[in-house]
Amino acid sequence: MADRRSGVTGPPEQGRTTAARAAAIAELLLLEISNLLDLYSKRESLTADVIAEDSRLVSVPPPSSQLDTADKLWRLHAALLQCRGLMERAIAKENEEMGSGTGEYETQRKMVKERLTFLINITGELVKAVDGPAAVTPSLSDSLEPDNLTLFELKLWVFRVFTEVNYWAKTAVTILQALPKERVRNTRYRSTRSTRR
Amino acid sequence: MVSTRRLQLFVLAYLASALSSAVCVSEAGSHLVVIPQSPVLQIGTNFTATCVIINTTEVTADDLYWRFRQTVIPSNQYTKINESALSVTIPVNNEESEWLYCYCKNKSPYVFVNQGKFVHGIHLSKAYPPEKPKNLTCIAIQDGKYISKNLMCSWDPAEHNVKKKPTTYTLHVEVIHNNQAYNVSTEENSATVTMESFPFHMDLEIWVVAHNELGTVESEHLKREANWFAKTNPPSDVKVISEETFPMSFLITWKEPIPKQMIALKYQIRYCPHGSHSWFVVPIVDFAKGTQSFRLQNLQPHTVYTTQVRCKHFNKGYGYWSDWSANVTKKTAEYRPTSKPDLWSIITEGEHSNERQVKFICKNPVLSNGKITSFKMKIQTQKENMMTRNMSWEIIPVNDPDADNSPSQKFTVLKQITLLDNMTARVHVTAINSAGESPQTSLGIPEEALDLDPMEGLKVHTQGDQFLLKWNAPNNTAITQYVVEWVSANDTDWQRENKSTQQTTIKGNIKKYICYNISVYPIYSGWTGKPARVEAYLAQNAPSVGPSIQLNGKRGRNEVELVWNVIPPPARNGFITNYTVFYSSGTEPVSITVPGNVTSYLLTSLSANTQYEAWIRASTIGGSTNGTRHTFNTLKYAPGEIEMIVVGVSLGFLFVVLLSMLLCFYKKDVIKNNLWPWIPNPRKSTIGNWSPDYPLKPETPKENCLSGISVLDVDTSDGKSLSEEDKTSLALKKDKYLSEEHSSGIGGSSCMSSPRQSVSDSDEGADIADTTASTVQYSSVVASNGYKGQTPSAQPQPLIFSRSESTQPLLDSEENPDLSVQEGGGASQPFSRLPCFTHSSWNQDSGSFPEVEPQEVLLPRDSCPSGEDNEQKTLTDGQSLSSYRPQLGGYRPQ
Repeated sequence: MADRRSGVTGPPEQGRTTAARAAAIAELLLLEISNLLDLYSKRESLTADVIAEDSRLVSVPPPSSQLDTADKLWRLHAALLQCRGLMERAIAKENEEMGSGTGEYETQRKMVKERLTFLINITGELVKAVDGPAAVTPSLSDSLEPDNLTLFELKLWVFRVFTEVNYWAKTAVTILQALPKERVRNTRYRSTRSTRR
Repeated sequence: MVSTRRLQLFVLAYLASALSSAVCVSEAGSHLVVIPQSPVLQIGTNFTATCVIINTTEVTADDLYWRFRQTVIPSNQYTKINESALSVTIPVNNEESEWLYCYCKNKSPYVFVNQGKFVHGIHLSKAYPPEKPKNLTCIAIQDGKYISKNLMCSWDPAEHNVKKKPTTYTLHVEVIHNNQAYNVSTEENSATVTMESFPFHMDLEIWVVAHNELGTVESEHLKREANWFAKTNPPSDVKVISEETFPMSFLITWKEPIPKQMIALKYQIRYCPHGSHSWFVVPIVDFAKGTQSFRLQNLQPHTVYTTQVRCKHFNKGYGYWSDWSANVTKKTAEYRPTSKPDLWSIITEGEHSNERQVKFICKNPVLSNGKITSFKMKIQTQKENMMTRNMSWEIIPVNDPDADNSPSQKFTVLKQITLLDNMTARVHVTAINSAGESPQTSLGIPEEALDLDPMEGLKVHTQGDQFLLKWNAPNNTAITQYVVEWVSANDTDWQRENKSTQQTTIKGNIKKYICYNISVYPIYSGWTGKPARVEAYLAQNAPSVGPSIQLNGKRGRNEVELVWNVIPPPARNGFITNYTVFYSSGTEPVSITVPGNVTSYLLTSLSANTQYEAWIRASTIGGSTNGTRHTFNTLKYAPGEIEMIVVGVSLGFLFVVLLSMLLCFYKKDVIKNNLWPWIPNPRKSTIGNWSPDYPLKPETPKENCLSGISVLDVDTSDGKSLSEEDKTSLALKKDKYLSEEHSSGIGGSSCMSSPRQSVSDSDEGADIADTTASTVQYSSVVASNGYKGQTPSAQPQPLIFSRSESTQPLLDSEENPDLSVQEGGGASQPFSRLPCFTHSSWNQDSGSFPEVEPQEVLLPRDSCPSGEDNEQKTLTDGQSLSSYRPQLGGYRPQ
């Protein structure tokens, strides 16, 4: 019986660094969530001024210049996890209220969620890579629970969710693009080493 | 090694004993079992099978043997494991499935009776082990705004594959860090994995697992960022902008086919002059990341370029190049001509002997950088270094500037002047387009007599579809360049070569079968020298038409000169090497070959009065063509031959005539006597003393004196017509009658008058009687036997008495018969044309129509034909034949 795995082609990280790819994903997420916001605004005839800019759905420690890279990544990772939770619940609520569709909005919404997942995963790798804190379990505020909302309130809540994702996408772009340009070692090996530790 | 062998035998023995119990039931009493059962064998290896004896002691392993492919396997391939097991090793060397049998020899009656229990076989399936997939590549192409979520991967096909045992490939795609894994299986060497979405910027790990019954093997794992496999659409909305202020550059803009957040792209531009397929590729290093415009520089003004753009992931090695965008064609703006126009002249003879016609022609500058709208020209002429005349600058518009790229419009005719042989001319020309004026070019035409070391040794060869020219440079260092000119019937062109050139090819569009007059001119600081000229064909062919033939001058009896026209130059297709004259008179043609500069030929030794067909064949080294056939006849007589015959015959005839005349002249008396016997002239006759009572003095008539007419008295009693048979007898009777001398009375007619009439008592002749009564009656004896001809009778005839009714006195000759007849020949009319009435005239009274026209006969005067003529008269009943008739000629009132 031949060996099942004959080997891996080339070096594990031949292309861009994980941080660079994470930054690119964040940029793409920002583009997609922006498109989704445009689609939603046009669809629901909502404008950005219907919600307060400083009202946050994601609850994470406040930013500080004293935070190091690992902490920033951890904070970002935690926020993104909460964003994905919000997205999932918003999608579920919308499907529950208005049914699931296959139009451009729904496709874009699905892609944002998937891109967000990608970003979360690669950010988690970065957190591991820099020996950051352990991944946190997202904990959403009970006040943000969209249960018992009217339809308009639901629309506003969904709009806030998308806006929140858009905000954290921007934040992710900022944080990830600010990471050191040096090539990050293979996250698998790093994670293996971390596991041994 | 030995221990391994023992271990193997032990295992086999164990297996045999273990199987014996199980097989015993399933094989329904078979005493042989082959192991392993239904194996899949690897092609190219050796296979070992073991036959085990179970449930019997009748046979041992020594009694077993193997059959494979219809033959017994040699025993040297057997291995006896123990007394009840025998193994065999065979090579597996093909792909076909086969059976392997274990048999037992007929050792005992039991074996013979139970042969079915002493045989066993296994089916051998064969295959190759799975090969490791190599060269795994994947691609995801753009679909709409995104890259497709379908990732198509392919790998090299396996070198060996057995159709009955195919290898299954499973493509695995795993999105690293996202715990997403996809796979798809296929028996082909490509597969497509459909993902949730294209994982931009995420790492993918891709590998292929090959599996069949002989094992499983994996390809190497591709671990690449997903963008590595992306192939986008070409850039969209590619625009090329031409700016008048930058006539040598384009500004190219485009739009990215996909958001840069998905794939950051780099671009590549290529361009070429329109119609060319030689692309110039802009180096990629000239592009900045994310750029969507580029300025192409160092282009030619007023030139149409075709431009394309493509894109690829910006990172080195990432992704695939997109296809090239669609062609975008644009022309750069105009700029002033940056090179000189190509000025040349065509010199021909003038109307007078001491002048030349010089036509100045000019090609547009090579770097015209726009449409040449006009030329500016100035001519300076000088006569014997004394007088210089400067003409002002002259603008010569180009009639059709749009045709400047037309192949047929290679040059512009600027001007044609008449230049005396002892004058020189210097011409200056610039070309003008909408953006400016070109540098100035000049050309000098020296005096005709000026001899500037003419060119020598020009030779023309064909090289492919071009002319290769070679010449010897004149021993003159003042040569600055050469001009190679080639002229055909419909084309004139030239090219310039530098002064060191002694060999070049004509760069024009040279056509086959066209005669080119090729000249090489030396140019001495702008002054044109004497050229060397050669006529040449790039390739020669048979003439398109043959010469038409015709005859030159008059045809001859044995020779004809043929002339034929010269074939027009466009139809020659080559140099005429010779003509072949063919002529034939229906037999094998005769051919005569004459040189190519001959256009006539004299055919000799032709047959007279024969039709010939002639034609001419014109030949070049490329072939021959027959001309039209011409048919001609040679003459029966040579020119002048007929004239000679006519002259000869005429001379002969003339000689005969003269001879006859001379003969007549000298023999006229003889002829006269023979043809015209002497007849006495009655007018000159005189009546002597004669009365009826006067006794007749018979005179002996002279021979040949025919003055009287004998009277024919025809017996009309029978009233019958005289028949031809009676002519002879009639003549005899006539003589008889004449001999009886029926004489008429005085006053009656003596000419063929009946006796009754002659006595003037006829009832019908009252007038006649009156007339007769007024006449002087006379008669004479004129002949003895009547006149029967003009041949005098040699024998004397009895005298005949005849009485004349003429009132004319007797001729003297009657009294003097010696007088010549000639004396009164003309007036007396010895012969007169008198109508001689046939008997039909006389039958008018009887009411019958005349059957015969009146005939004119020569009759002697006062006589009518006697003899036969009279014999033809028909006498009717009751009528007596009357021979009387009025004397119309011979009677004249006294």
